[in-house]
Amino acid sequence: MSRVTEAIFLSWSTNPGLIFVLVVTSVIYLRGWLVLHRITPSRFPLWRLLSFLAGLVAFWFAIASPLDSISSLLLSGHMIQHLLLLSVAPPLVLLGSPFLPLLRGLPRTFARDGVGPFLVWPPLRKFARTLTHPAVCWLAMAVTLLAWHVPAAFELALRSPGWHKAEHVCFFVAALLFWWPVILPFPSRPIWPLWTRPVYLLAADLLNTLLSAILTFSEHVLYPTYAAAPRLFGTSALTDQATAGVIMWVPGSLVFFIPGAVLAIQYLSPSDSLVRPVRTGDGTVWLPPRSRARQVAQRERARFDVLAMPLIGQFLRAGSSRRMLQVVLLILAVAVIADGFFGPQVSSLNLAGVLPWTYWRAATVVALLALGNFFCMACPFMLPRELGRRIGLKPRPWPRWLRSKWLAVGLLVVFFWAYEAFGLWDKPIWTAWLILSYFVAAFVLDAFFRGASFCKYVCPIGQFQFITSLVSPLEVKVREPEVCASCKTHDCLRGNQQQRGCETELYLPRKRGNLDCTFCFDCARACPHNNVGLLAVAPGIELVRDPQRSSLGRFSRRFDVAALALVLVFAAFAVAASMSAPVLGLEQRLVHQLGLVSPLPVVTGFFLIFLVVSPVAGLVLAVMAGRSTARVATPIRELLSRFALALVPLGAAMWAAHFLFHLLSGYAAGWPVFQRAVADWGGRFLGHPDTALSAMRLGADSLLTLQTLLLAVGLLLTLYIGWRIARDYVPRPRSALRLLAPWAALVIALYLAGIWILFQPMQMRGLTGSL
Amino acid sequence: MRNIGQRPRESASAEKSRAGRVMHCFAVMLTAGIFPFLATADSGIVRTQESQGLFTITIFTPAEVSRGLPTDITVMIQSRDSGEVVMDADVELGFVPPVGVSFNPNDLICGSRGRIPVGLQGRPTGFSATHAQAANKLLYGASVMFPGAGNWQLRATVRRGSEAASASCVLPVSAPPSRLAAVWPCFALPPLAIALFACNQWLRNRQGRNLSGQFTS
Repeated sequence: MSRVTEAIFLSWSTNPGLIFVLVVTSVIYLRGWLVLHRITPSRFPLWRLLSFLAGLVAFWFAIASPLDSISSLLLSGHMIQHLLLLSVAPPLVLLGSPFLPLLRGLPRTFARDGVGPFLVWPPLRKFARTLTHPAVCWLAMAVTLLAWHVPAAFELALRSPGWHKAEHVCFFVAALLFWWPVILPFPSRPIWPLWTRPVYLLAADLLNTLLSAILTFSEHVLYPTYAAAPRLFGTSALTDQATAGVIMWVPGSLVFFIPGAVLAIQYLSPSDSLVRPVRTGDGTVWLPPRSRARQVAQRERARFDVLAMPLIGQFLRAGSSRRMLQVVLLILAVAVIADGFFGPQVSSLNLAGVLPWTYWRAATVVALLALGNFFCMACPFMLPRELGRRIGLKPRPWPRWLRSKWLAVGLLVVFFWAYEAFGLWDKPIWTAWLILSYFVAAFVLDAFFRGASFCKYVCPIGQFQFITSLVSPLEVKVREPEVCASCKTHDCLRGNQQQRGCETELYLPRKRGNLDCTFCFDCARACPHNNVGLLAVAPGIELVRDPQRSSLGRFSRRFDVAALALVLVFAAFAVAASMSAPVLGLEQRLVHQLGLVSPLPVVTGFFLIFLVVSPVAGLVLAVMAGRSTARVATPIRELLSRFALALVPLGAAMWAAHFLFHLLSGYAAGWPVFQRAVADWGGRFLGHPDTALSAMRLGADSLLTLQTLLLAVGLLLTLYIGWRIARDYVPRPRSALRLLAPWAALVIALYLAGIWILFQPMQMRGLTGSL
Repeated sequence: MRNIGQRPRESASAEKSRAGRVMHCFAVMLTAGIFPFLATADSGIVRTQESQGLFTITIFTPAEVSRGLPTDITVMIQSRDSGEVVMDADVELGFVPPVGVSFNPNDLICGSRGRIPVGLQGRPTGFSATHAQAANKLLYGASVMFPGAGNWQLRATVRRGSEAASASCVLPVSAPPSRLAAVWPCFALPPLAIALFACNQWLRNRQGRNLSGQFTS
């Protein structure tokens, strides 16, 4: 293979957003297809699944393959790309009859309560019928095809990446509409008689022939871009254009001719094998046979369980896995401490400046939002507890007056203040001292007190993990509640001879949500009925309800938990704001105007206002205003507790947006710092550290898009949870809206503050390239 | 240097073809009206195409280059005689900043390495363009962040063994567009989702009332 050919084959473009959308669509379809295939294998055979997936692959190939790279140099390459988008991907997708599988593949509640009301709304159904009318579909395709081949429009798409995407979307959507009356994906019904379908295709072919003839026989280059582009493979621009015309003409016509012929033969054939539409109650909703549907529904109720997965489930359940992960993190922690004490005191050149503040924070938040509390599972600070137990100390119970989250709230406020006031992130030796003192505290507390007192009542990192994990998509839960009802031993809590029970005193049948759960899986190992799983849950759903929770009681009566959530939510905004240029400038101006020697009083005031005064004042005022306008008799303390916890998704989104900024802007800093540290300790085999690698490669706007998207999702989830809580107290929607409105205004103000912060210039911590 | 704004010369036969003339006029009118001096490639435009020594050098950049945003600059090297793509050359991009633009030491040039040092106004600073940095591997690419607006001079120098050639062009760098414009769909998401949710709740209430009405009647 020549180097040129090899280069062409290597010219794939990566588009994470597109890949994400295609993978999610495939997973939803697959999930729905599996259910429908079990009910009616004849209507949803394997080839439908393969066809749908092949359609998505064809779409991806058109957008991301070397065809896309070459399309700006060769019109013929561009034509193949368009052919895939118009005539290959859409029919394949529609042959998969995607409507029902995609609907069944969505979470049941979302499909029923979220999408369902729209699907049965008469105006929308009428619009859908109009949109899929053959005349509309044909015209949509014809207009799209003609409009985008006008030189001005084609050139616009070649010049601007945004318009190029718009062109591709137009082609794909118009083609989906065009092929709809031809394929009639289940459960749609034919509007025109079936004999019209070959005629419909033939008419489209006439249009295609006209366009391709213009391209093929034109004696001028129609699109100036290709006249100016460097010529490849010795072809002239005119030859390339003629080739594009032939591609459009011959394979493009075959795409219409072959299905047209097949449909004509089917129609004329005495054994009519055309798929007949199934008419049911309202004509569109198709119901499976009752008994079979019930069986499938039962199977569907068995939720996604990570512990039941092969390999991953076995790994998580094994007792040695946790120890292994802890040891790995312990080694990293020791390296950070050593480098913090003895390495260069420049944060972006030191492991203590880069590993915890750039990588670890972002990794834990991403893990929390994408999976669950896996940091606590691998927490190295647990190892001193084991050491304490091995040396034979007799632990006593944690003092009753300290059994709340207030101590942790205080520690978190102090930590956030100290982080900014003393620039912990910028002082490797302080980071080393912090981690070392963490080990000592964990050892002392867990050696002298029973259970996981340090985790449950003291550890600030643990509280951050616990609160954020309330919006995680995975939760340690019982698989079948009926099994627990007959259990007499309660090993998940008490443990047994082989395995200890839950150290944070969570009794699994009454455990709701992830608060205080360290994902240690001791309960799963202890359960003699193998009835504990790591199940998929709707993120934040446990904030909507207020049941009695094991070891925690009701959230509405846990003011300390609400205070913890408030501190963490407002700290997300305060910490991010304090590294933005305007806030730093304001602090400096205040220091100067007040004639202070150190900025410490100003920073202290800032954190007092934003971590203590404004959360309390804002929430109290909002809840009181809502309570009086909605005329609700519920105690204000209860409303405060529940609405404070509803802010958690927004806070988690802000933390994620902030930490991802550090990760994505300083992601390359780790390797040179690691090289430097190893070299300092005598190992030269990793080479000389190349600090210039740390330059930010990700587009600033891509990062900002990701951050604002995260914040938008956090805002929406927070508002949804708030709405559900309000409906819990006031069933009438209008009164619920009154109760919610002031709190929602506070939430929107926080969101806008977050957006403002993200738009500000930030300090680039952990960037060796910026030194 | 070839002026890429000029249309390709028409052949004599084209002049005679009525249909061709009409089509040509139509295409040129529409295109010239909107993009008089631009032609595009690799999601950008051809800034210049020069034949020098043994090489033909084509430089592509995005149509609009903004200060402070990563900009992909790509170069295609072809053999002047055969038109074959040259894959094994060393390509260096050099920049002459506009007069009056001052720099901060932390202003970055993205890519393999290198940045524009302070105070070197009027003198070129170079760094490598490679296949690895281009999406289209036929091209040599580099990602550049221009620290100042104005007319930058861009020079691509090609070396292969003892052969060398270069091409240059002027690159107008404008002030960055509003960052809001880049992320507006993200701002549209919350109001849209809230509107859909309100619609959903309204429909559920309405459908629930209709259903209960049917049962009671």
